[in-house]
Amino acid sequence: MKTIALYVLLISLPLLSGCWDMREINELGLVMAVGIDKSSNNPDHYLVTVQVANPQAGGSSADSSINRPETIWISSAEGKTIFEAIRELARISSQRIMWAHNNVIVIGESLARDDITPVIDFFSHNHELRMKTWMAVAKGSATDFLKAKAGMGSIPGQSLADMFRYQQFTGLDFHSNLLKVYGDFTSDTTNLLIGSLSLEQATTQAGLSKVQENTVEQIQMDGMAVFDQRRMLGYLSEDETRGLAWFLSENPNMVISVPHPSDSSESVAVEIVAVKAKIDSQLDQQTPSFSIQITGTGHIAEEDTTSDLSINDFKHQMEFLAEQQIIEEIELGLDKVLNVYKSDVLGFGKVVHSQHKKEWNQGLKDRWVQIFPDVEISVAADIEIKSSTLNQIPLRNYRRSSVIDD
Amino acid sequence: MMTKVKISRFQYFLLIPNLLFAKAIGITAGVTARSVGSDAWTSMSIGFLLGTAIILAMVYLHSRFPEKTIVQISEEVVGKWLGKLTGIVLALFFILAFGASANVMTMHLKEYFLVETPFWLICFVYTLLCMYGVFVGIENIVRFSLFGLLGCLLINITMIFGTWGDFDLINLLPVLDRGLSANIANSIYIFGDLAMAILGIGMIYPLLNNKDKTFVISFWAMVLSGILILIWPIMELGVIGSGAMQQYVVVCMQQVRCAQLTGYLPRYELIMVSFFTFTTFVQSATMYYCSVQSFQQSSGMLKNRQIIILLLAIAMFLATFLMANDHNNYIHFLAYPWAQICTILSLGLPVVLIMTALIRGKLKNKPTPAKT
Repeated sequence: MKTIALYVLLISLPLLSGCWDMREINELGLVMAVGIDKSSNNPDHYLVTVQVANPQAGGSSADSSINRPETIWISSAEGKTIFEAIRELARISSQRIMWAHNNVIVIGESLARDDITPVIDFFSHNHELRMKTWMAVAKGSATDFLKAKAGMGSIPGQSLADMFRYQQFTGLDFHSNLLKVYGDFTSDTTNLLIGSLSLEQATTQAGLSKVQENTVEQIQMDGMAVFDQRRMLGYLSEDETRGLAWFLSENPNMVISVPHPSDSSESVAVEIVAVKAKIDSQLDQQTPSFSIQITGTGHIAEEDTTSDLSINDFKHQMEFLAEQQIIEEIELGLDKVLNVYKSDVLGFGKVVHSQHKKEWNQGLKDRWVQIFPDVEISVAADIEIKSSTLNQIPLRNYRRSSVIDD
Repeated sequence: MMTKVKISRFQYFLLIPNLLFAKAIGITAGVTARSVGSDAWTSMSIGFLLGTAIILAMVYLHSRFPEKTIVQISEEVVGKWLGKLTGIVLALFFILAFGASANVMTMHLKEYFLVETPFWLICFVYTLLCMYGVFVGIENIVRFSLFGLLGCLLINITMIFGTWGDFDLINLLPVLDRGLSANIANSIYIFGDLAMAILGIGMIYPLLNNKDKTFVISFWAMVLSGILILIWPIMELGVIGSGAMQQYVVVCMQQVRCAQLTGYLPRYELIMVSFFTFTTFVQSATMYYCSVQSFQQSSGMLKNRQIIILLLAIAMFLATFLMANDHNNYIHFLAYPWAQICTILSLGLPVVLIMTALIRGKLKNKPTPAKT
């Protein structure tokens, strides 16, 4: 009987080879970035643009750049659904489109303002795609952004993903990847906040030997797009986005510039690290209010003028100024969200729910959309400056001062 | 039933987490989240506590009938014909339990890796594999428990490291949002998994070569299983949130799609699924074995075992294929009536047998455990 079982297993071996799902790598077109727009020809149709890596371009560096093929292949197709448009791409693509390595999903502004649901639904359904794929709203047509230059890499989709990765240093994005966006989309209170992109004219030079300069359109991070459930309401500026980053971003590492204590016309740059945000809610007669407490560590990174202050005085004054600056930035962002967009992209509904579940389930939840714009929010910051980065004392001009303190 | 096949207590300890892990971490978590949202982890924890008590009750029952399976105990306690009926019901239960377990693997393959391969073929090959396991014997299946447990540990470690950065505690709050009674009521979904362990132990226990301290071993096996399994709904809620959990068929697969270890290892779900295969195999093949045993013991067909294994393979294949040919129907089936059937059987059978045995005075004398 064991022999029979062995034969059965041997016979099943060809069945285990997975022929149905076999994909040779040379037959695959690896998507690096995808852009989704509403079609200009038919507003009910979607225009899908893909940026596909071209492996043939990765040849020897000795090859003449004139003969070397482009590193990416860009193509667009239309369809009544996104899936239909992607299938249409097969009519012009010599390789099978594969999504597993896609880095970024760029959504055109007109589509974002209309309804983002199809984009989130299609890409969260797609088993090939990573949930950590970045998402962005383009200020304009997504197609234009896929054709533009991004960063320093030869594949713009990859460079764009790298740009997202480093936004903890600017506070211009709070990790707006498919995982977070999908989580907020399916949440019963929190609305979407997705990074936005704009195009700027940039001058590039091909190499030291080439004196000819080109002006090209280059992608830059440009604040975030605010949504109300499914539709985009508008944008947050860079400063407003930075304000929210203090308590929404994970591990923000941002630099603030504050007036120099000795000369307010000059600045001091303080790098704030190890930022922790604590959000508490209080209920008074069913009306919630919030307190945001920011704590962090500062390092003085740049002084634009000299001073005779002792290091301790300098640190104390810088701590106070940094705290004020952070509070101002946060209030700027909150003001836009509460008074202009009136959309809970901050997750404050979740905070009330977690801290006052009884009141939340007894009606606060149903009234949250009306209540949110009127909530009171107090902001406090506590920054401890621990070092002045390599220096033991504030920058001196010894021709002007001879006092050296500890 | 006297049998030459014996398993050690260590193998028994390893087997229990393997009988629970595969379906509970993703599919049960999703089913529970659809009912109680962010309370999925508390509801499953409550179910686990109840299940631990029932497993200990089952071990207590076996301590009085150490050389008998649950089918044979039923015959002795409630009478021959009621006992045989119990055996037939259990045989059918184990066939469906095989389908529920096998489809954990087939779903992963069909939805994420072999999307174009016909579903029947995946079911067929997996049933063949488990059938081969039953042919070579339960001892060999149970030996895979060590690899299964190591796989469980590895998949848990890689999942936690890969998703920790996206974990948000607020997604788990407030605790017991839907209230304690709703949490208890919805804890029945984890009984779809607990029943496989409770009733599986009912068939496996007599195979133990040494039955000392099985109470303690079973308790610690359940503690280990609880830690290994409950970390999943906790992490799933913290990372993808209850709203997203409610959307998906295979939630654990969605969780591992989110895992990323630095920029150099952006995705590794195939590696994680490979860790997952041993434990799923142990669960499915044990259900297959238990079905064969139940059928043989209740029908009295103690000869022709290999024919029964082959015939049951057809039932196993059909159960697997028909249960999940429509993926949504599979999930509906697990929520209703499978969870209810499992709760009634796994809770009811040990309790009824203990009560009846108590009334009939069959629990009075503790037999001396046999050592082999």
